[in-house]
Amino acid sequence: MRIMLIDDSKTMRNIQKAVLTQLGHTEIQEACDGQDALSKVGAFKPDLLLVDWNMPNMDGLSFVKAFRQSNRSTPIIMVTTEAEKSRVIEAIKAGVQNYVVKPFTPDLLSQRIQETMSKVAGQPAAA
Amino acid sequence: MDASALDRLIRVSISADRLAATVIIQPGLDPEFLTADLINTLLDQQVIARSRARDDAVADLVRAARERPDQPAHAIVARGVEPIHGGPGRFELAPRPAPPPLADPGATDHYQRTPFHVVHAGGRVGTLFPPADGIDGVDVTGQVLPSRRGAAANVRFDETVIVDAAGAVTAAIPGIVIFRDSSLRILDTLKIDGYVDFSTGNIDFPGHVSVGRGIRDCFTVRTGRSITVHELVEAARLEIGEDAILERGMAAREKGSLSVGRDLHAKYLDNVEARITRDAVIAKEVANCHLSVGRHFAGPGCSFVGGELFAMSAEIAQVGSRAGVATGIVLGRVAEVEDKAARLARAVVPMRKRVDALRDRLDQLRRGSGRLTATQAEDLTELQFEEATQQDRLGKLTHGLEAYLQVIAAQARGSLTFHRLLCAGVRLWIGGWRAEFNTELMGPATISLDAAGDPVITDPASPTPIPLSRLARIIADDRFIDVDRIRRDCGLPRAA
Repeated sequence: MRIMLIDDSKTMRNIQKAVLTQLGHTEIQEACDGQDALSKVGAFKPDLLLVDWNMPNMDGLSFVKAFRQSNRSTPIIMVTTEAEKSRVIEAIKAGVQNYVVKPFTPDLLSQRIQETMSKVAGQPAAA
Repeated sequence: MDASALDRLIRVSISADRLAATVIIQPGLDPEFLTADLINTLLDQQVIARSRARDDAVADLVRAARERPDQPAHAIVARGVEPIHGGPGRFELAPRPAPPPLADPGATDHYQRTPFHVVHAGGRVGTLFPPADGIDGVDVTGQVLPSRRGAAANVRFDETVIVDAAGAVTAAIPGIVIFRDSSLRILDTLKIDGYVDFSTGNIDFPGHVSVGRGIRDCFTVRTGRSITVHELVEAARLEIGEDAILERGMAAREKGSLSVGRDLHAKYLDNVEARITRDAVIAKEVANCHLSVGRHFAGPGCSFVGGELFAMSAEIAQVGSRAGVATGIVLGRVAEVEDKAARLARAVVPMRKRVDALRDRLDQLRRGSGRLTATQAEDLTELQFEEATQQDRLGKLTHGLEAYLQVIAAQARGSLTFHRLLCAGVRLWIGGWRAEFNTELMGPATISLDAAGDPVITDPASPTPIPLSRLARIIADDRFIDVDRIRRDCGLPRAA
């Protein structure tokens, strides 16, 4: 499975990458903002995207909206410090499937990724 | 001219191999009658293939016969093409692997020179080349002269080699390559009638090795399976995959070493550094050796004098000597396991401290009031990740450490039986104790640990063990790792 990590913090990307590697995922592409991600999604064709909200050049929400114009189905998890309910609703309306609020633990991120992928596959998430 | 006269005067002869047709003209033929057409007609009657070369040869022959009508004339007027038969198949032995290169390219290491061609299973032994097809020829009448395919290579293979469709010949078993009397096979036993010396070089053999005489100083013998040496092993280096049977023994003069993958059987060992994975069975004497035996040392008729023995249990006729040579017996301790456990413990202690410190910091941050800024949230995520990663590593390390500690605990209950004598000056490590003997003890007797973990001695004549402390000085020893302390320091539960 191909996974794209979009976050302006390299540390955050490294943490997410380590969690994904532990889950057995090795095809991972990184992007440092929405604009960078848009330039890479065409060639990489991800099966899942983890997107930060606050980033320079193009923020996560703008990226999701732009991405959804051409792709309605690839699941997106928003990983952000934006914890307010209105923001969560805004993200889901834009086409985000799941939401992880920073700070998160590796276990929580792992659980959200599995939940999202199970939903896409039409199976219940493993406990 | 009638036909019989013509036959007598002009004759067409075809060679036995049908590769040449010759026309012979005898004197007496009317030159006016002799023409190329006549000869060609006769050749056509014999179905000799017509060609420009035949026409030219006939014309030359007619000219010559006319010029000298009183002499016979003859010429080969047609030739066939000889068939080329196919070459025979052949077997080529692969070259022996070259010894490892030396630092000085001009130098030769005579220890590495070996006359044996050794292969591992799957190793290339040679190539079988198939016989070649031939090229057909043609006789003077244009008929095909068939060629023959070459004969198959005159070589026999047994089940120890595999020949694939491409002719690659590989070893089905590891061993020595024997190619003799057109027969190729791999022997899993290397039999050396004499010594391992400069006539054999170092031995590195994947199968069994049998040495008719002995092994000389400074040579190395590595075997994948067992070895039997009928005479003395000198200060050599032996690395034996399975059993080692040294019918006389080994005198290593503190230079040789012995590593045995399974059991060792020897008459005596002198100044040997040896590591035996399973049991050591020694008939006569072990003098000034350092032996590490994975299971049992069996020497009911053997003296163990000088040096040190590590074993799970031991049965020895005489331990030490009346001259007071320093002799140590260490029961239930395996140096490698101790080292690994100690190394793991050294890694676990600081890592546990790091994890505890991280956890304290996280608790402080989580307890802090107010909403986190984006930077604080990311810092906290990073810290949580660090804590989870370190915790994961710590879990793996403690799991490994626990396994080693359990092995140490299981092994720590060894016993020593001495049949004749245990001399003063011997030191014995058993459990967490060191016993120092200041007086000699007569055998037979067995030293072991009682249910409380204290050393006791049992005389077969009296069923009740008595505390060893009545006969020897017993000291809590710190030479080996203290399992309880490690458990405490590393936060592991106490063993049941």
